[in-house]
Amino acid sequence: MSEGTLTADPPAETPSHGRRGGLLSNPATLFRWGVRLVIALIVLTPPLYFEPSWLRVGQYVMIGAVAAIGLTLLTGQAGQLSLAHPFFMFVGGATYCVLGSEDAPGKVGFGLPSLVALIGAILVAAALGLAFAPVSGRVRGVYLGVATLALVYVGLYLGQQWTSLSGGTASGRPSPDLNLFGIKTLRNDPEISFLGQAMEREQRVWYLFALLLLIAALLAWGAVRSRPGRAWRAVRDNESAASALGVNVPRVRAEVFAISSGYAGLAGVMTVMWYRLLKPDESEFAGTYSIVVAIAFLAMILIGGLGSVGGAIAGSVLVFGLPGMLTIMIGGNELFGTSGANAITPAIFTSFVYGAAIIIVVLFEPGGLAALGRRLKATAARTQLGSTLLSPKGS
Amino acid sequence: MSPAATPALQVDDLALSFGGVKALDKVSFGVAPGNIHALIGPNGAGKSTCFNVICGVYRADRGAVRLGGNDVTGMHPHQLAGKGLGRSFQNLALSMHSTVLDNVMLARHCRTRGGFMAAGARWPSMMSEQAKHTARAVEICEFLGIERLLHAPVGGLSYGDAKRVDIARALATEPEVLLLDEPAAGMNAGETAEVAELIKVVRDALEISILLVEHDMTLVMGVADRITVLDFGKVVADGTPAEVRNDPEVIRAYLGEQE
Repeated sequence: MSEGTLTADPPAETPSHGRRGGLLSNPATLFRWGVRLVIALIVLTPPLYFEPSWLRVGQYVMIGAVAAIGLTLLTGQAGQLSLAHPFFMFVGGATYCVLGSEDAPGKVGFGLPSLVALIGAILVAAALGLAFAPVSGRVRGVYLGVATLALVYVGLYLGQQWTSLSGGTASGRPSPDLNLFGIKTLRNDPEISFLGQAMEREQRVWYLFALLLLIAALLAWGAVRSRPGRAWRAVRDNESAASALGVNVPRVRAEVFAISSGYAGLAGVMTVMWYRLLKPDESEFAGTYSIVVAIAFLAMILIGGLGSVGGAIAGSVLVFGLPGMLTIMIGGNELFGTSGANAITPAIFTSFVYGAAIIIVVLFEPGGLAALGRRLKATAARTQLGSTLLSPKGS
Repeated sequence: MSPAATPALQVDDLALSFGGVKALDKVSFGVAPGNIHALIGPNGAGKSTCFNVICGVYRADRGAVRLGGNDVTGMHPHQLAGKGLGRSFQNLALSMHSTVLDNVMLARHCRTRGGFMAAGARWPSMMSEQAKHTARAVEICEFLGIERLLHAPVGGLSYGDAKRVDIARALATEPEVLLLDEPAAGMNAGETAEVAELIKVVRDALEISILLVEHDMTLVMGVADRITVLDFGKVVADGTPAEVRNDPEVIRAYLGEQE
């Protein structure tokens, strides 16, 4: 096995890490670019060909994806279980409305430019996440999950009581339009067309959400692959080792919680734009910012593969996308002909599907969809150029 | 070696009690620069407690720890990493799903900057800094003979290779003093000899001081320049391997009554 002797000098031959070869000579690189091309087509073309109802399903998936990326960084990468994501979404959505709306009777509004309101919403959600550090820094594992659950109730209460900010459960308050460098998102102002297709509200929201998701995903990928990501995983795997190697564990734990909350805040802004309305929940078990949603996010990151950014997006396609897709495909609101209280609606059917998906993932592929993707990539690399000795892939 | 020089690591009059048990009682010793120093003693003698006080995991009731003349008493473990104290772990404590390079790069955390936004946006200064530190991490892996495993997940490695990753990671903090926690634990005679060789090579190449806490007497006698023996939280002997081996107090306390 190993030789037992070591040389103080580096070996003479230059080590090849198999990282960056010629662009097309490496099958793994080729595969990666192929995947990017397919993703670009999936993101860019639907507004040209699909009905607005389909676009709305896609937009909803992108909201879930942004939130799930934030959660997978926190839970998958840094090992902190959180059910508070819907709370931070609500905070983000409410902050966006408060900052971005004009003052109205009974409702506080600052009338700031919408882009400022968007960034402000992310920062306020992140700041509240940071304020949770005394709890998240002390409580571990399932106990942290329970502690964070309390925040969902706090959000529910505040949403119902603090109507000057939230608009109240009866009417809510309208979402400010996002004005992106002169282009409004929720109105046809100015009118634009792209490849002969008029860019109306659903097309605009689609592209806006795709842009936000792209930024969210790229930031997450970059962080996961470098210094912050290494610190997160070290804290997750062994806090005392992380500490001995120079990682300030409480600080890293607080930071990642804030970052994750910022992602939830952005998803909250997107949610408000999607409904064109901020409306606090009436119940903690059913609603936009409820416990059910918290569990749906956990399902996404589990199915996608804990810690995987791409997996979080794939998980959202299943968990947030399936109900909408089924509704459109079936036409009505019920599956299998039943109706009334016992109806199997697309939402109920989806919960069966993702419940089954979680069981399958836990039993057969703990790495989730991300692990399947990695295996596919490895197979692609092997079959195309069997003789190429690729270095073992990174995770 | 050179008694006049400031010790690389000096422990002064440490005391620590857990309830009524005196785990450490007036413990003092110094690790001379470039020395391999062993801390030994029977089970429960206070070796690990002493180790943990030096690392900042425990806080002593009394006494001081000095690193190259600087008082580091009571500092947190993550602060000590930046002060030139590196440590390995008995149970390795590696991230099993991460690659070898990822594990070693973690040790550059305190020497690098850059938070979420800079990393996420792949800020050029951060990327070039990372490339520089990656090169150093690769160099350290080459030095330890694990460069062929750089991109392999640690979970799949043999115990011996994983131990090397653990040591590589400790060295990647660029320590002045390296603390090894039972480096030969769970190893057979062949592997232990390999570790002994490795410890000497590391000391000679990097000119650092090494303090090891160890049970395995063949390893200790083979590599240590100086040995401190603890028993019931007290220093009972301090000297060269030959002196310690013949010290009647040590024989009584540690090696057994007869012979």
